[in-house]
Amino acid sequence: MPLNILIVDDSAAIRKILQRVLRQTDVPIGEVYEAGDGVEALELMKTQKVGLILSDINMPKMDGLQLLSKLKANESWKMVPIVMITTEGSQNKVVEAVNLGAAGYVRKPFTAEQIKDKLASVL
Amino acid sequence: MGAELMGNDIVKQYETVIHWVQEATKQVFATMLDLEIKCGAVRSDHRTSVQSAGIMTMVGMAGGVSGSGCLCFSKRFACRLASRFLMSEYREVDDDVLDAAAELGNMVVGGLKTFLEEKSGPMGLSVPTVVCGENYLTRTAPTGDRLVLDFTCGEGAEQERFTVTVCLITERKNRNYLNEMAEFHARLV
Repeated sequence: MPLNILIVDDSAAIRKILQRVLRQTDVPIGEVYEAGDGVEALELMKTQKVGLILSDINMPKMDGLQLLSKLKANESWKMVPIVMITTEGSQNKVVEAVNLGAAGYVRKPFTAEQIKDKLASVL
Repeated sequence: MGAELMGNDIVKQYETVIHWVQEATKQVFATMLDLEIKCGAVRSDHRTSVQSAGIMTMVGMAGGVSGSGCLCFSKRFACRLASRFLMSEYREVDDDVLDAAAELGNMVVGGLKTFLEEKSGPMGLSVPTVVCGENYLTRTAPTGDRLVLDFTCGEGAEQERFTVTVCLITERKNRNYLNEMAEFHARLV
C-alpha cells in the first residue's frame, strides 16, 4: 500500500529536494504533503492519513520538537514514525528528539543516499 | 587549511574559525551540490563595504558567540547552484533560486554553529534573509570582528568566485556591546 508522507520544513528548497529524493526511493509513495511549520503540520494531520513524517527542528511558530511532543501525545498519531532532518548540530537537541520518540535523524547537509538509508531503516 | 592568510592579527586570531567556515562551506557544496570548491584568500574587511555580488544570504547567530554569516555570489552562480540543488534548470533569479540561496546560507552557517557550539555552548540561528540587488552598502555592529573568505568553484571561463563573510562577537564583547547600546538608549531618553 502506498505510503503517504508529510515533509515539515520552513525551507521551500528543502521540501522540494526531499520530494524528489522520496520519488527516487524503492518505497511505494502515495501522496507527499508539505507543511512550513509545526502548526501547519498538525492541521494537515487532522485531515490526511500520513504514514511517515520528515521534520526540521528549527521552524517558526512551532518547532520540530514541539511538533514531535504533540504527535506522540496523540493516540491516533503516536505510532507514525518521525525522522528529524535538521542543521541542528547540538547533541542535546538530537538526544531530546530521540527521547521524545523520533525514529531517527539526518543532519543537513545530507545526500540522497543518507535519506534513502534512513527511510529503509525506519520503515 | 589551503588558504592564503593575510598577515594581520585578526585573521591569525581566528585561524580555527576560518578553518571551520571553510570546512562547513566545502561540506555543503560537496554534499548538497556535488561541487568541489577551493578556498582562497582570507581578509579582515572594513565594516562598511559595497556589495556588488548580486545575491547575499545572511544568517544571524546568538549565544556564547554572536554574530552573522553571509554568502555572496553572482546571480548567474546563484542560478547554477539552484539548478543543482533543486535538480531543475534555472536561468533567472526567481523565488526558487532565492529559497535555494537561503537554505545554502542556513546550512553553511549551521555547520559553523555546530563547530562553535563545541567550544561555546548552545547557540541559536536566525531565519535566513536573502538580498538580491547591485551595489549596496553593508555594515555590521562596530564591536564585531569581520572576516571575508574567498572561494572559487570550477576552472577557466566557467570559474565562479564567491565569498563567505563572518562577523563574530564573543560573549565578553557582546556584553560590552549591550552595555554600549543601553547607555546609548539612556542618553536618548
